[in-house]
Parts: sequence; structure tokens; C-alpha cells
Amino acid sequence: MFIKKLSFVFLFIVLVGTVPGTLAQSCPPGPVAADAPTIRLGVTASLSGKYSFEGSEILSGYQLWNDWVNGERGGVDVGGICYRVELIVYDDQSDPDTVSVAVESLIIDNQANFILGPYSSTLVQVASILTERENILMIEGGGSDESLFERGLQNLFGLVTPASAYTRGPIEQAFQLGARTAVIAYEETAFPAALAADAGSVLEEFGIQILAIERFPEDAGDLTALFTSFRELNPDLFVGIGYYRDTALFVRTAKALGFSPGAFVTARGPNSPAFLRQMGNDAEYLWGAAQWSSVLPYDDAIFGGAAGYADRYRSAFGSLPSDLAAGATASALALQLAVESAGTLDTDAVRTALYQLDVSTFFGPIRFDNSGASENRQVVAVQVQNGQAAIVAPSEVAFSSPIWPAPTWDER
Amino acid sequence: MESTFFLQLTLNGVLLGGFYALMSAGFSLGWRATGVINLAHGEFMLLGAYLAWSLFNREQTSNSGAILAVLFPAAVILAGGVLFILGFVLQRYLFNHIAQSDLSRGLLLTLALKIILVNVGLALYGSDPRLPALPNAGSYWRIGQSDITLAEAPVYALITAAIVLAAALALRRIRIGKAIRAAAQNPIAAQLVGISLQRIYAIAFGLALALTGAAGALLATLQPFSPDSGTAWTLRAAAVVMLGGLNRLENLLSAALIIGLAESYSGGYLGTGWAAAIPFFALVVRLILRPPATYDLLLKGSV
Repeated sequence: MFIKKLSFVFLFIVLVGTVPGTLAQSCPPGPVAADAPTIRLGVTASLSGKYSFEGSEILSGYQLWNDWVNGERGGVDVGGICYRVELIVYDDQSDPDTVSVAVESLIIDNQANFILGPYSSTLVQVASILTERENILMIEGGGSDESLFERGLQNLFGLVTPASAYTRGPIEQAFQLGARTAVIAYEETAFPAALAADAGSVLEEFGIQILAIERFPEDAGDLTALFTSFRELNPDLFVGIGYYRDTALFVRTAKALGFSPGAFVTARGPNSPAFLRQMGNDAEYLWGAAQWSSVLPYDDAIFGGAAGYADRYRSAFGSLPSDLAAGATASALALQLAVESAGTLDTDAVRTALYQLDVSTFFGPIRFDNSGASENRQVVAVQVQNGQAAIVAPSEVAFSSPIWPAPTWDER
Repeated sequence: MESTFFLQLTLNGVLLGGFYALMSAGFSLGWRATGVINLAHGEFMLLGAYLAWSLFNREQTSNSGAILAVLFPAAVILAGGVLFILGFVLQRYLFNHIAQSDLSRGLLLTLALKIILVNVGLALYGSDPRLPALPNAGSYWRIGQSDITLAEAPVYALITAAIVLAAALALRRIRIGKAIRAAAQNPIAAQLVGISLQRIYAIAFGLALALTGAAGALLATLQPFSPDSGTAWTLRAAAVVMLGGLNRLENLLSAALIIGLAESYSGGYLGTGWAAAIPFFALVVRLILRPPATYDLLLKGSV
């Protein structure tokens, strides 16, 4: 009898627990009614400054979700009432001071119900101080530094994998292929430095000998000397950590000096179609990591899986989405699902719903641990082959085998 | 092995020095001839870079060295020409009236120009960095069977810089060059012999910006650039000019070469972080050893 009762309770928990996971809704599909009440979502996006490339991709991701929810889905169902979504966008100029002013204005002046986060761990961190103080939830797909989620914040939820996973995939692959020595170069700012430290411990874990670790200043224009020393060391593996601009400089300098390690691993660049177009043939054989790719077997009922999402994005913006854009759309989607299952816009209720969220989406499974960080996400290793970021690891999803060692510049 | 490393660093340093020489020649000429210390120097250089980039970008698919050899001079001429006109107009109708013979007004005016240029640049081009143009132009020559390589783009840059600087030197021998020097050395005497200061200043500043624009065109092939990256170039040009002094182009060339080599050696043996500090370290040493000339310049505006 007791067992039976317990199993009934268990069944009840399972049922309730999965409610947020279903995509059931009551709003009639189609455009949301003109007189619908509004949910205001505050967005701070880096449309100028050093992260403008990444920032505009993130904003496109939010806009794609916004157009879909207002134009096709009939709005967000909050306790039986269909709400229209309004995005309020501020340009944060990639600047921490501006971010904090922007978030303050969004919350105080614009009365935003929730905040959708900016790009980069630095800016997310600044924004999170304000969302914590004002008790407003922020969800983001642009900041992945572990330290963001180690501060006991209640109101921050992040969809992307912790940063330490970034270089693990490519390094592991290169090790299996025979890499035994490595060099590291990184831009001397907070996030690349943290990533480089992680890369260093991953290399040590595999017993790969680190021949040199070199850092360079943020605005360095000439890395010839650095690559001349690296060429002298002749490593199997090069790990270069910085942003888009740094990756371009790495490749350009390596080519000019004929530096060709077996694997050329970078933190950003290979997973951005726009970057690959600009770099042309020189980007071939670059290794990188991606939080998401349109060819991953992720399925959902909304966008037609990862591939369906990529098609939709391309018809809206003219190019394929990067993992950043997809992460932004998925963040907004996760927030919407949590609001719908909570049936209210109340911060505490939506927070509880976010903790309970466990769904499969075009971005893969979305689930948060109790620090607000993403759980159970997979980072894939990619290598640029024929102008595309081909997934080369892990083996379950890989559709290409890695080319190792990369041909020297003379042979290309 | 050790000697290969040293030779490669030397080669890199010479190539870098050649570029620095051209980059700071315009800054030096403008300062010397009109007394205006151009704080917008880096931004004018970026303007040249964007002009060149628009030309290169159309030819993005081609990767032959021959096309590169044609495009380089074309870009240099385009950027130099447009900036000559801009410099002439600016000096003739703006600086002549506001900034002449007053150091602080000149500084304020060029600072304002700098802010305007940065923001116009951001509005027109956005702040995404432009990658070095001609994606396939990073080819190199290998010297014999050794590991030493010579990248094509900086070599073209060095050749172009040499031609442009030689032209600037040759200018001294013709009338207009003499007039520019006369106006700089003694404005009153120059006027007495019938030189129109306003016109000469305008031509001189036009030439200064033309050199700067040419340097910008080379920059577009060497390093990533964005509208807000000009300040670093202004500072570097100032360091080269103060190290070499204003009076002789030969001194400027050796100063640029010293800085190029010092950056390359320190980057190779000490780390890239050090390379960025070298021009300013050299400048401090020079100011300690031989201060008076530079103080005079700052106080008087024009010499």
C-alpha cells in the first residue's frame, strides 16, 4: 500500500517535472493580437567596439526568436493570456561602464521584465551585478567563463558550456593523432588568459610537453617575433587564444614565416562562416571548438532541429548562423518556456521554472545546474576543410576525419 | 640554428623599420613645415588604409604576385592622392586661419579632427577589424635551403616606402621643396622674398598627408585595422620623430630602423609584450641624453 502510494507520488513528480519540457501552448498560432499585453525584454548588445562582430550575431539570434514568437507563434502564453514580446535594445559599445548604465536604464527606465545578456564573460559579469541587485533574471549565451557561476548569483542563467571545454576537444584529438609538443600564445586580457591556463592544464593532462607560453598585448599589430621563436621550437601543436582579430593575425604571420605545426588550434574564428569567407584559403586546416553546429543531430518541434534553424536564419540574415547566434536564440527560447510553465512574469516563479527546465531544442538539451550554468552540453571539435567548419570530434557526431599533420605552407 | 633565428629577426626588423619610416615621415613633414603637431595622424593613416582596402577587396580572388605588384602602387597612389587633396584643403581653409603659430590651438584642432574621423569611420565601416587585405598575399620566399623566409607583402611595402621617400627627398631640390624649407626655417624672410606662406603651408601639409595615406595603404596589407586603432600609430610616429629629430630625413630613417630592429630583437629574445614598449623606452633614453632640441620644438611650435 505504502509502495503504491509512493509510486503514485513518484509518477506525480515525473509528470509535473516534465510539464516545462513539453512545448504545449494555448495561444493560437499566427501573429500575436495587436492589443496583446507586452513582455519587455531588455537587451544590451555590443554593436560597436571590439566585440561588435560577435555582438551583432547575438542580436540577430534574439531578433530571430522575437520575430518567430510575435509573428508565428501567437505570442507567449502567460497563465492563459497571450503576450507580445518587445525587445528593447541598447548598444553597450563593448564597454563595461556602458553595459552597467544600459542595464540600469533597461530595468529602471524601460521597466524590462527580463534581461537577455550581452557577449563576453566580462560584460555578462558587469550586467549580472545589476540584475542581482534589482532582482531581475538574466539569461545569456555569450559568456562562458566558469567564474561567472561561482559567485552564488541567483539571477544569472547561462546556456553555453564552461570555457575550459573550449580547447579540450581539439587537443585531445591532436594527442590521439600523435601530437607530443605544444606552444601557447594568448592575448593578455582576462578571458583569453583564463582560457590559456585551461589549455595548459589540458595539455599537461595528456602529457603533451609545453615548449613555450607567450602572451601579447591586446592591441599588438605585429607578432612576427613571437612566431619566429615558435618556428624555432618546431612544435606539433599550436594553441592560439584571442578573438577574431587575433586569429587573423596568427594565420597571417604564420604564413609569412612558413610556420606550420601539425595542428593549428584557435579559440575563435573557425566556427564563424563570415570569418572563413574573409580569410579565404588561408583558414584551411585551422582547428577550433564550437558550442553548436547546424549539422548536429539536434531535433525539436519548433525550428525543425539544428538544420531547420540554420535555414531559417539564413533566409532572415543572408548567412549561416554561428554558435553565438544559435545560443542567443536558444537563451530567449529557454526563458519563454520557463515563463510559460511558471504562468507568471514573477522573478521568483520563473527562476524556479528555469531550474526545472529540461528540454530538447535545436540547440541541444537545455538544463541548468543549481548555479545557473548549463549542464550536459557537448562541445564539438572542428577543422576547417574546403572552407567549411567540419566536425571532426567526438566520433558520434563527426562527419569528417581530421587532416593531420596539416600540409606545410610550401605544399599548399 | 641560433644564427638563423638572429638573421630572421634582423630581416623582420628591417622590414618593420622601413614601414615605420614611411609611417612617420608624414607626421614629421607636417610638424616641421607648418608647426602643427597632428594628433589625428593615425586616423589619416587609417583613412588611407580603408581607401586601399576598397581597391584590394575587389581583387580578393586573385593571388598572383604580379597582380599584387600592380595593386600595391595603385593603392598607394589612390590613398596618397586623396589625402593630398584633403591635406591641402584642410590647411588652406582651416589650419591657416585657426592653428597657425599657436601650438595649443593646433593640438586642439587636430584632436577634434581625430574624434570626428574615428566616429565617421565607425559609422561608415563599423568597428569590425578589417583583416590584412589580399587574403592570399601572405606568400613568402624562402632564402636558399635555409629556414629564413621573406614575406612578400612587407617586401613590397619596403620597396614602395623606399620609392616614396626617395621622391620626398628629391623634392628638396626643386623650387617648391626649397620654398617649403624656407617657410619652415624663417617665415618672415620667406614672405619677404615673395613666398605665399598660406599656399606653401597648404602644399606642405598636403604632401604630409599624402605620405601618411601611402603608409596607410601599406598598413592595409600588413596588419588588421579598425577605425579606433589610430592612436597607437600616432604615438609610434611621435616616438620615431622625437627619436630621430625633425631636421634630417636620414635621421628619421635610422630612428625608424633602430626601433624596428629593437622591437624585433626584444620580441624574439624577451617576449612580444616587451616589443610594444621599446619605441617609448628609446624615446625616454633619447630625451634624457639630448633634451634641448625637442624642448625647443615643443615651445616654439615651428622651428
